[in-house]
Amino acid sequence: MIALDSTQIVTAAVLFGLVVSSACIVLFIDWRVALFALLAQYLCAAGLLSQVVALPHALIRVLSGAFATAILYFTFRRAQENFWRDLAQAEDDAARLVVTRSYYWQVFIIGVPFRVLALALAAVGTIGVASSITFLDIPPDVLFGALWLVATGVLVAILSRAVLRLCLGILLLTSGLVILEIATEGSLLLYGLVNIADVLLALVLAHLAALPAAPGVWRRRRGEVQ
Amino acid sequence: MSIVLTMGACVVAGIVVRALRRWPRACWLATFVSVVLIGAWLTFVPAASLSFFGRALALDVASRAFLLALFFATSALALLAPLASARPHASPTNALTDSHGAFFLLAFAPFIATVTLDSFPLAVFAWAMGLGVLMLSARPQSEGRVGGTAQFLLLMVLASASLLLANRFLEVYPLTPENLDLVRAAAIFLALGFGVLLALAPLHFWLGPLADELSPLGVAFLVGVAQAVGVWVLWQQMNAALWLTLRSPLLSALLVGGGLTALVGALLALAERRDARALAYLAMVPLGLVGVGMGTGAPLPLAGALVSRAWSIALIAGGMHFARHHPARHGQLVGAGTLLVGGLALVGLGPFAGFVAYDAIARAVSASHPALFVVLVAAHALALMTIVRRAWRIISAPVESDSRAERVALVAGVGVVIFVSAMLIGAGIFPQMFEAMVKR
Repeated sequence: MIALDSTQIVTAAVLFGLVVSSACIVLFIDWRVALFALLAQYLCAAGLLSQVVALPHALIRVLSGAFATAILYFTFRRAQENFWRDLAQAEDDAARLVVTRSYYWQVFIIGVPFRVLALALAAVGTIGVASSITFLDIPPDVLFGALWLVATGVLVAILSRAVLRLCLGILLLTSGLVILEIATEGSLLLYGLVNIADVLLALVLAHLAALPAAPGVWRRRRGEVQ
Repeated sequence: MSIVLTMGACVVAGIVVRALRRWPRACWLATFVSVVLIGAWLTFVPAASLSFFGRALALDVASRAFLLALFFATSALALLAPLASARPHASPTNALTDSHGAFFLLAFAPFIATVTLDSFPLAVFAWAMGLGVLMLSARPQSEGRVGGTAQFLLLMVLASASLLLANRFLEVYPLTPENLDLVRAAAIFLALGFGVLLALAPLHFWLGPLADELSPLGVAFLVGVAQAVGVWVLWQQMNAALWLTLRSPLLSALLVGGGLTALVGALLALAERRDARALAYLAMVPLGLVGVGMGTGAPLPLAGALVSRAWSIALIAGGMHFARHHPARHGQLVGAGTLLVGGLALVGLGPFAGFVAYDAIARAVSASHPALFVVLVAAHALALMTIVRRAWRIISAPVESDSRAERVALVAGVGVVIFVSAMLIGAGIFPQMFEAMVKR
């Protein structure tokens, strides 16, 4: 029987947390679940980062993640208020059905079974890559965690129809890339700047999600679609 | 400290212009005062370097000349933006167009850091930040849906990470010079990162969807100013690690990618009807020329070509902006004329500034790679044909009557256009303006 010491148990728990939290963002449509999963992912990523930087520095990741999550929370809530308003204004059941479907169907471009399949493929790919290559002397567990976040981040981004869900994908992706970057580079200045960049990315995407679409008249003016 | 103050001035100017977006004339005046003051400050600011966390911001002669030239293009674009609201029945969406200058000024602040920083990863980071800020000026085509801007942000993250990983390989390689795998890996990551962000074919796929969500002025800033800053970063890195070009296929990739970019850009522009997309594709033609010039490995006036490209693109975008927002006869004529002048400068015809730089690159390419030279000539001819056709479409379109407010805006816009054209022609006749950059 293999004996595990406390460090290995903690690492296994952190990796398990990363896998579950990222999977929740891919699988669940509800934005509250996704935001909680994102926050949990930041906690686990900080746990993984603590293997390559000091724990206080790793906790900065949780702080920047909390800021980004807060920005997204307000934007998601506003989007849901718009949904309730549209639903209240719908005149009959058919209209209400259209509004509901447009709200729920615009999160991902494919359904749950295909997302489960895509997630399984991503998991197999990540395990295959992490167990077969060495990348600039990064420890295998850190490499697996980073690659898993990159894979699920790209997956969410590719499958998203809604800007805000794509934002979650981008934040997952940056989380993985930050771990890779800090494990190889070790520059604390760059680490701090990347954390700021996460908040900026969340701001830009929240701004994009909150903007109304360009009116058709504006798009049809000279030189555009005719 | 002076560099930080310049960046701070850009940020403050951007915030002020944004705050005044509901009052087009005040917005234009604030933009004018800001760009004049910042331009003068950037010209005469002392060149003392600033150190922080072991890194330095340094403004040498070449950096200052390059930044000034790009700031000039930024200023022209920022001054043209508020002229969209001249019409009495201008739509509320014009308020966003009016404040484009704010986003250009805000995005230019990180670009100053990109050009002056002595650290490649931090420069890449600052460049990505500038691109991110520019995306605030985008307008999605569908509310809440993923569009070109969101996709670009995803690609920007991937490309930046690719460049940061390339930097790690570049740092590790001198420790084990016999391990050529590190050089190849660095070249692959560099090609991927810069290929995506500079929209080099075949990695230009994001350009069209993004152009759909930006105005022509926004696209002009992206391809004219932001991409020029990116090429500068690549160029600096190639000069800092000469073994990178000697021991990796990076130069060959630039030659092939540059030729392909010019040809694909010209063909796409020829078939395109939408303004912003056409502008983005047209800008790929001289970018391909610069890529091929870099691929020859010879000391060529690439900065001059980039600056000429940025100014020409600003003029073309200005022409499109006029034609879109001033449907009266005078506005249409000014728009078509500006578009034509910008187009002639873009393809490097004399007496515009690009002629000198393009000529030097074309000579070097024709001597070493005649087939690529033919491709480049064909691409530039197609680009010229596209410009002439678009100018003719504007002139032949039906016109509306104008108002006094429109005429005032038109005069202000014409002033900006004349100034940029005079600079382009002046730099073409007196190419020693670019001497400092050419020497570099």
